[in-house]
Amino acid sequence: MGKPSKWKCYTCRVEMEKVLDISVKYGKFNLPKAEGLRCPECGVQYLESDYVAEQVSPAEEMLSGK
Amino acid sequence: MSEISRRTFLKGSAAIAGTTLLASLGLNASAEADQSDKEKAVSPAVSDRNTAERNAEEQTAEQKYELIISDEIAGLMEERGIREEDVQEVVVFAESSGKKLYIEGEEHYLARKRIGKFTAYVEYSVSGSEVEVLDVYSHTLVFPDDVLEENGES
Ligand SMILES: [Zn+2]
Repeated sequence: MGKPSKWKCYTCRVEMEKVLDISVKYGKFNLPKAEGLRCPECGVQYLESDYVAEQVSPAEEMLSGK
Repeated sequence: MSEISRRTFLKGSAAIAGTTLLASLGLNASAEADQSDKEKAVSPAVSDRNTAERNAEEQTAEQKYELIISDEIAGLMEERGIREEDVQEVVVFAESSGKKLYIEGEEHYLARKRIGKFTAYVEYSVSGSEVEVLDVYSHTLVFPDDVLEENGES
């Protein structure tokens, strides 16, 4: 079980959990698991702003060949 | 706006900090590329709920919110290639479907929506009819096992 987050899922009214195992794909490529938030009830997943800026965007830049 | 310009949102410092995932990608991306995706069945209850939410979205598709966008956020939007209409679309979807996160005791939300080839996130607060935009960001990555994304809504 992940650590609790300040965010709650509006649908389920439960705390989102911080997790390290979000499956992500870029095109047809399965990438390493990402860090983010997951609702323990409905499973909806979000990435957080800092993580996107610091980890995801550079990876996408590399994969897009720019 | 072109897809390329949408994605020009890299912060200067992010290139260095991103080396962790980049290093992992170099080792793992190609190795995992051939893995078959896990297919997850969507339960009837989830399907019914999503249908109802889609209907709610259609009913309020024309609804617009009065967005309050500071100079700082406008700069972020420019940098990250996110347009005001994208922000509006995310907020309309979140408010009509209830698909969003919130902070207990505050009118403070985080929402996301797949728009074309990228997922846009908007953090915002609501005061009456006004929506103050607090952060915006996006990514091209998709979540293959995400309930929302399987239904094309995220
Ligand atoms: Zn939930």
